[in-house]
Amino acid sequence: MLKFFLLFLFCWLGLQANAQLAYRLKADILTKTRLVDSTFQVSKGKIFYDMNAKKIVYDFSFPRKEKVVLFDTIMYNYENEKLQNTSTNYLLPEQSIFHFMLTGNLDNFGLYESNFNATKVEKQKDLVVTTWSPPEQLKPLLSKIDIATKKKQIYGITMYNSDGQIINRQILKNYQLVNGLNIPTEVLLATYLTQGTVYQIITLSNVVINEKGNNQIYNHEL
Amino acid sequence: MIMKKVYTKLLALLMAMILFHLQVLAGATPSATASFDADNAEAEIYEAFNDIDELVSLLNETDDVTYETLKANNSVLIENVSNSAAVAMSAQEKDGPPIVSAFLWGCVLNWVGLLVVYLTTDSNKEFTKKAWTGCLVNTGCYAGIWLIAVLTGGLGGALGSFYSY
Repeated sequence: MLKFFLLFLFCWLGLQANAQLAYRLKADILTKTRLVDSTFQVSKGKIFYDMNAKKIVYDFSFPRKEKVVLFDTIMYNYENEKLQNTSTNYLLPEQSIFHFMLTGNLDNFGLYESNFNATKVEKQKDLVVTTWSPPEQLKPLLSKIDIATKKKQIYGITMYNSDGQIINRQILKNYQLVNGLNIPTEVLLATYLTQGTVYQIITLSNVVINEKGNNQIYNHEL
Repeated sequence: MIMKKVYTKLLALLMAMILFHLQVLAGATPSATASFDADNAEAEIYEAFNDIDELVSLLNETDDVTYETLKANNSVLIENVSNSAAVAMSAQEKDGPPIVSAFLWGCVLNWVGLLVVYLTTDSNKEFTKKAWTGCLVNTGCYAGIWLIAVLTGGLGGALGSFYSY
């Protein structure tokens, strides 16, 4: 019995250590977006993220061969390794889903650290839905956030405005265990605006954690 | 240089707050009022992409295809598909300002919206012009309301009560 317990303990510690040491992610990525005017944007390529370099690097093959680097608040576009243009970036790499995948913080998306309070837990079919109430200063804008888990993995995030209507929905599915990390390989998003809805589906495949070498792409020169 | 970085970060924070506020004020579509319904939520998002299933299948099968090669062959697969890359977790109006159109930025937020559009589109003339139009429409609406108020005597009463202090 003791041997079994020790074996289990070592395995568990090994997985935890692996998860904590994860710092790099590489994957094939296919992203589809439908804008409010019902036109589409589609891209295919590879994504590279290194927590230390703090850069998300997309190496696209479609719609054209180009690299997009997100660093801090700037998005850099390169064609043939030549900088074509820059624009403002609203997705800070340290607050991206790729960062949460590596740090293992997908379960509450940082809500606990943001002074949200879990006020209700209920079971809906095969989902366990936890309702998070925002801090006082956010209540005029946001009434609650529901986080649904399925088999102890985060499945959905739903944000409601002060009238109780859904304004944003994210679904994470098709989890794969890679180097001890549970990586959702499909992310569905819907943002509801008065003029229409923006939809996005992100599909990851061939996920590699902590790839050795290739430093020049993870820390792409700006 | 440091000031520029601080300024850009502040602008990003301001943009995030404005976007969040706009989204919250915007309300939701009728279909978005139901409680969490996993099956319907997934189906709604998947169905939004039915029109580009063939393009996605082609992309999954080959690594060589680009937008230009499809365009050169007059492919119907890129109908309604722009040549801008889709960046994960981010949705922009082609190369324009984020989420809402340049016109709305100008119309809703007036000169602040104009500034946002100017800065986020690298001073793109077309988008800035749209924002200007929105700005002028907004100003025109206010002028119209003011004129109606003057004609109906509402403003006189308001001014009268102001000057009585």
